[in-house]
Amino acid sequence: MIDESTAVFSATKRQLARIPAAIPEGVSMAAAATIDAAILAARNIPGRTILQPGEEARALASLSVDCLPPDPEIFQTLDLWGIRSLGELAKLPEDGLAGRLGSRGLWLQKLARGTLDRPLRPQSIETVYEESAEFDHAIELREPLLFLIARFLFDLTAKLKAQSLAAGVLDLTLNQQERKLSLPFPTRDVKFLLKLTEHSLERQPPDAPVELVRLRIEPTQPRRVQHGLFTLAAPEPEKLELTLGKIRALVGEANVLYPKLENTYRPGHGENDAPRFGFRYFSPPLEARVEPEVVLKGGPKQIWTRVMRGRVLNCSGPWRSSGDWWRPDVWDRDEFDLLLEDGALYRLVHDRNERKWFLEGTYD
Amino acid sequence: MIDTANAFDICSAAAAGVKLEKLLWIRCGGNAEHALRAADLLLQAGGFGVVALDLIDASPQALARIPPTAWFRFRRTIEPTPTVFLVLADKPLTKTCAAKRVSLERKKPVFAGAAPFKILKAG
Repeated sequence: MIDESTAVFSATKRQLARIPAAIPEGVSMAAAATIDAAILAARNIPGRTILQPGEEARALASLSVDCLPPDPEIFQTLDLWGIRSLGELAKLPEDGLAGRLGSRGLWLQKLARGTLDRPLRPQSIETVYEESAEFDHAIELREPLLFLIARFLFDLTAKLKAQSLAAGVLDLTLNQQERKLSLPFPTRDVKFLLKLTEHSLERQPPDAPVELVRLRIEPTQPRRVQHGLFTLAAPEPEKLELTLGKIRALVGEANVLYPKLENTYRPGHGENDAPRFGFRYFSPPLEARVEPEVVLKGGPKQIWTRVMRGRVLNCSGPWRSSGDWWRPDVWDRDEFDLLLEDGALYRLVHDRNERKWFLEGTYD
Repeated sequence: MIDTANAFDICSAAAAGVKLEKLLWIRCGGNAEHALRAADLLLQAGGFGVVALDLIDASPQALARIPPTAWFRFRRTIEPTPTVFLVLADKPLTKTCAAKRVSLERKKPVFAGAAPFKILKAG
């Protein structure tokens, strides 16, 4: 389809001969040796037009220049020259036309003559990769649900394979609950997709027995992998993703991560944080009581927490830092590094917003 | 890095030369059983250069519940592979299963300068 009103087909002479001479009212058809000549004739000459090779220029000569694809600048120039029809445009010398209107002018002249030759390109129909099922009796167990999803996956991956595509994202809807499974890499591996779905159902089971299942796949280009001789060995992507899925089900989605330093001065997060030697956080920070309460020169002298207490032998600080005042998680704190009499080395923090003392961690 | 107690500091790791883009960090929120299970899964999956299990701040009760056979199983899993399984703890846990045991001590801290500008430096 060229547009909603024009369809283009290639046909043999025998097929053309079988087309009836009388065609319905309001429909025009044309056949020519070149695609664009046939389109121009079908759109502008009513009824049935069959152009023999070599007849295109004569048949199109009487058509107006406005039949051509719009080009306001060139059309204005042609109007100034008094060129109104395709026949008049076709007669212009090519060298002169190229010199004045460029390659676009030459292209329009070829269209006017019906001599522009280009191959037909098939227009692919957009395919929706979706399967769904509704049940009279709701499914309560996971196994039958996975059995059905497996069947959907087999059918959908077969469709993807036919189009040389792979799955990029899975959208699974159970009743009205939608979940999106982003795949770490494009794949058509049914076992792997089913395992990922199973892990997702383990982490987030459906709220109610399932009456409706809809599985939609967003297609993408398949993965192309080239292995190198000197590439370091790494876990297989499928195996790694399944393993991480099991670990996420164990510890929670938010606790499996690839750490990254951010562009911030927030303590413990930023590439701008002062470099320091080995440090371990207390999670959560240990609430502390210090003496004296109001710390002046020299830092606190004694410290108590629920797990330890001691006398401070040496101390550096306070080092004040604050930031992100425009955000709800604003920070404003004084930091001390404490050496206790038992040799332990801690970071003590006074949160100026909450007016509380915490032991944030220990130096390793 | 399997971080049992959520104690890992990415800033000091980066300062020590750890390439964070090659690090997978698993936080277990104090649950030593989850940490061991995660270690088992990662070792079974294979392909990692180093799997570090940090049990330093795990409770003594949780550590006592780890069966000695667990370490033998881990050792059997990684024996045919180039993976290094590094267990960090306050006291020896793996006993004879370990190929090597390394004991670490912190250097004596140095407070340089005078108040109020005294700073802590690595010894």
